Amino acid sequence: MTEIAWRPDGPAPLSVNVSHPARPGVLLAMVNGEMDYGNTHRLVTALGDAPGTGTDIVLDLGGLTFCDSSALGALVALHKRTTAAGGRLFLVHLRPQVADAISVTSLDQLLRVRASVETVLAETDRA
Amino acid sequence: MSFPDRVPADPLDDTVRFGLSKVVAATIDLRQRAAETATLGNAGRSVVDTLRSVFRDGAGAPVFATAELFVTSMQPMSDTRWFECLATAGEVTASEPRPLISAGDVASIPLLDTVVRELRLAPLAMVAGEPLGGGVDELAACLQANGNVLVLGGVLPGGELFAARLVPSEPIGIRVLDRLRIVASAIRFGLVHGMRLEPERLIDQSAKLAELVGGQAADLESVVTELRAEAELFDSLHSVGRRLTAQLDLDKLVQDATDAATRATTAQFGAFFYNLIDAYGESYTLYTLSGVPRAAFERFPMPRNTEVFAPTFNGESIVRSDDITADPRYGHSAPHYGMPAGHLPVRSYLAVPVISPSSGEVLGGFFFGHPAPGRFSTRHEHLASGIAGYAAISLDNARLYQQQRRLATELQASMLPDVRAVPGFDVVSRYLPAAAGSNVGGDWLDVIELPAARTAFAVGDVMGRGVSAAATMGQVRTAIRAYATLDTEPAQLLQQVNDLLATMPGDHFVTCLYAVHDAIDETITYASAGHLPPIVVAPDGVVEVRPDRHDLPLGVGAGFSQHEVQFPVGGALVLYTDGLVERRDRSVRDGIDTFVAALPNLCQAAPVDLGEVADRLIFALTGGKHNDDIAFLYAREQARLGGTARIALAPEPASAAVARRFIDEQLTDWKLDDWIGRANLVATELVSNAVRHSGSLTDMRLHYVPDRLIIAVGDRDQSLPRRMDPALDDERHRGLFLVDTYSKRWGTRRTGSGKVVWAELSTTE
Repeated sequence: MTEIAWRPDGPAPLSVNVSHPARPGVLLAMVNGEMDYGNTHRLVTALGDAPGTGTDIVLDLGGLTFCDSSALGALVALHKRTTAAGGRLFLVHLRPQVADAISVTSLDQLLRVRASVETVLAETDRA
Repeated sequence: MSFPDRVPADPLDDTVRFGLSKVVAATIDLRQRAAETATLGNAGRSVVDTLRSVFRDGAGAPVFATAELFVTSMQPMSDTRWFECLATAGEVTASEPRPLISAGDVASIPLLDTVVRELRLAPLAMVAGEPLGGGVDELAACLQANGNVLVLGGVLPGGELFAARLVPSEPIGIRVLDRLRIVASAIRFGLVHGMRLEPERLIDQSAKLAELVGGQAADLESVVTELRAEAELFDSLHSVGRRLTAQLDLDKLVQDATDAATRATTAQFGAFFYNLIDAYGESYTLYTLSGVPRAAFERFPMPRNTEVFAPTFNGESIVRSDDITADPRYGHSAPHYGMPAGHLPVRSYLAVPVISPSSGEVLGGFFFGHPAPGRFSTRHEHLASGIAGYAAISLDNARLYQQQRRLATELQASMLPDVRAVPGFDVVSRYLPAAAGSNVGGDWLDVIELPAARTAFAVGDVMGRGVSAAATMGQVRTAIRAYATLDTEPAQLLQQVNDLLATMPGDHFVTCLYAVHDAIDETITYASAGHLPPIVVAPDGVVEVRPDRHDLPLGVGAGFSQHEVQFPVGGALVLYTDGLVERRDRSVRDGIDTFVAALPNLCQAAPVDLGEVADRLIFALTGGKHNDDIAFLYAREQARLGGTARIALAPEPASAAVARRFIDEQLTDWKLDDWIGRANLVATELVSNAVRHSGSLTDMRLHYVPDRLIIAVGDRDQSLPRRMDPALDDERHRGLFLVDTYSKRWGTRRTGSGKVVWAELSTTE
């Protein structure tokens, strides 16, 4: 049996970079790393008050290599809060593990999953 | 019960007091003692004494309470004949000599009157004063007063008459008289001696007596022969009965019965047709033959219910015919109109139905034939019907027995697990029903594959045999399987089975051992309810008979202790029942030692040879004979492809990430890169759950065997997780749903210190 000591190297790496795209009322956030029970609070912290202001939020998950059920729960919570304030939540650039987790839990029926930021901008443009 | 007690006593005979041997002995005595006397008076006394001393009852007391001997004689110088007492013995009343002057005098003496009538003498001849006519052949033996007085008499050579009056303690039966006539003759012989007659007359008397004794002896011989034959018949019937009723093997039974009946009836050949019910409830008929090879009848169809056969097949009556071909019922049925061509000739015919004493159903019939007419007597008929009666009882017994046995065998066969291959082990198992007594026992073996790289092994022995033991075994085995699949800990499992047994009617006594191998922990955990110790063989071949304390058997004890033994890869577990190691000439301890000494052969055997080596081992231990069931199981863990890895985890949120790093490394090592994503998700959920809900996460183990990856997460909390079905916008409760989705199966089991939640991922899909 191989046994290695517990490594106290802290929670999984996760970064959330919030930027404002060309259009007003649309918030773009780049999410990188792994999101799980141990660090979902960082996403909430990074987005601050934005979900409660009626702003559309686009999460670029191109750098998110892992998400667990807690992360999915955080996305659902974000979706509900954004919608309640009159805004919309978009998820773009999903990696396979994340896309699969969203699809097996049928959350693709609830969450707006799009291919890219451009797709989202085109969609919000028409609206 | 001894045989003579069964012969009904003939109230008219009396073989105890007047058996042939006694009578013959009496005549010899009478002659020998009389030969020593010199006067008639002495001879008379000798006669009465001898009669009193020779005939004795069962208790040894003289049969004749009174013995009196009278003779007639002519008074010297007168022509008057007197009747006087010559000698007496026992209780007697004095009697005066009586002159016989008129026929009335003769008639007034009952003893004399009886003898005269019996000898057909004219009463007047008695008073005529002339020597009496009639020769030495004339002898009287008769009874008076309902057998309470025996009279023996006859004419003596001088023309006088003698009469013996004998009063028995118990009345005498009429059949004894023929035998006692010899005694009368012997009395006369004795008296003749005393009369000192000239030699030629004595010789004459002697010759006459010899002739008479000879004739009687011939009669006697035939009576003895007849009696002996009778005794033999009874004897043979009795022994046939005993043999038949002790016989439970149907084939032997019917052949025995046929042979015995054919011998007893002196038939040339005999046949027994009997009906059986097959496994599907259909009736069919078989037959056995005696006195003739089977080939003699093979060409013929089964006899049909013709007029001749009907009384037998319908169970109505015995048919006995001196010449069946002359019987009005014979020869009316097509196509043969009698015996088919080529049939052994039958004139004398006897057929006896065999009827079940329990159901009244006709079980079959005996048929006897002989080519000569008039061969079968009433006695043959009685004998055949006696044997038929025994055969009926035996057939009934055998049928009931076979029914019961079939039920038990089927029951056990249906419940005996077919011990299948389990992943990771080379297993050889044997179940050998007891050789002695063909009953079914209650031993069983089981190998149960549990989830998460665990395997359960069970061995047990239900006390008792037959259907009820097999039924109990089935229930216990099923209960164990059920509790096993719930991943119940061994001690807890035995306790639950024990509780279950208590709710089942009847007393149960079951020894049982239940062991679980955990490939991840490399341990075997077990509990034993009074069963023989398990044997563990280490990979290096060191054999250990586990020395643990015995807990009581199921149904008797309660509270079972659990033991754990290290079981590194390549070890072997050996389970067995007492039939393997217990023998009358050897203690169980010695049996186990012998067994242990033989185990290395098994441990060194290649997987393909395991069966053969196991058979040899069992044979060596039992010598091929065993009076109890044997159950034997040898399970050797195969060398593993893959591996096991463990990481200790702290109960904090960051542990999920640590677990994922560990999985990344291990699965890369195991070349399972494609499964890292799923494994990470499953592991994260299990670890997160442990952190969130138990707050006492301890570790994570990975176990990889071909086709499967097992992730097991341990904590110190015994509450079990539940899968929820979250609503679409639910923010929680998706964890176990994801585990369920990404694993082939998952589950939990309580351990001594907490629980393990595990999931198995298929690595082939």
